[in-house]
Amino acid sequence: MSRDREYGPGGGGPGGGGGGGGKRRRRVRRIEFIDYKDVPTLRKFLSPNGKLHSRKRNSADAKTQNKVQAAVKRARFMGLLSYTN
Amino acid sequence: MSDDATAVAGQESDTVKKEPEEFKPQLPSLDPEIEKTTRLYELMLMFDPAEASRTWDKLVEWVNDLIGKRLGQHVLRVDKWADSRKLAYEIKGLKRATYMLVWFRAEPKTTRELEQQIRLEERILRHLLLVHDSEPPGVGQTAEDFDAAAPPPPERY
Repeated sequence: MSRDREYGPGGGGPGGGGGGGGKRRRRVRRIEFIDYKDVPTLRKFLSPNGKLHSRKRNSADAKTQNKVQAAVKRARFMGLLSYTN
Repeated sequence: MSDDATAVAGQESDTVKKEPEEFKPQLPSLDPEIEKTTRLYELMLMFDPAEASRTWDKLVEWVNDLIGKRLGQHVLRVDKWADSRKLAYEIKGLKRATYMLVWFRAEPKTTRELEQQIRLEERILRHLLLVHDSEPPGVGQTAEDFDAAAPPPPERY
């Protein structure tokens, strides 16, 4: 294992190599199912004005962010969440 | 040594690994032959609370009649999801609305006719029709249940 790291480029992660300060892999959140009716949960992904936070801020992977986005839009359409504040 | 290790591992699996809550289906299952040709739909309907409180049973009957009889599909469950819930913004001059949630299985080709009928029905302020691959969690929960299960306040601010 350690030999890999020493000699080969194979084992290196992102940002490996000289210079220190490499890229750090983000921890992401994955939610299998999010309900548009679950307003309290959806609010956690929104700013106080009702805007959807960035994926980075939500630490969501692409699938999760898309699900949250769709759920928020449905909730807005049915009058459960506001479009603006 | 090895005994210790297994003991610790055993402990961990007891305390750390929590069995996920068992999923109990809330919707009745139909004949597998029917389930093959149909899909599971979730339909949310929005009504004027005054109208809904007066004629709720008639509205439920209307839905059952439309989906069950006229379209010949299978209504699984009809719930009052929220009674006179405050809207986030005014819709058609109303500040509150009553929501009906209908779970049904239907052949996909019938949904076009269904939506057409819903659009013609003036008592329905808005509707939302979704397809599900399988029964999602939380069927049968009302708006109050969702609000009551609200987690602790946001981490920051």
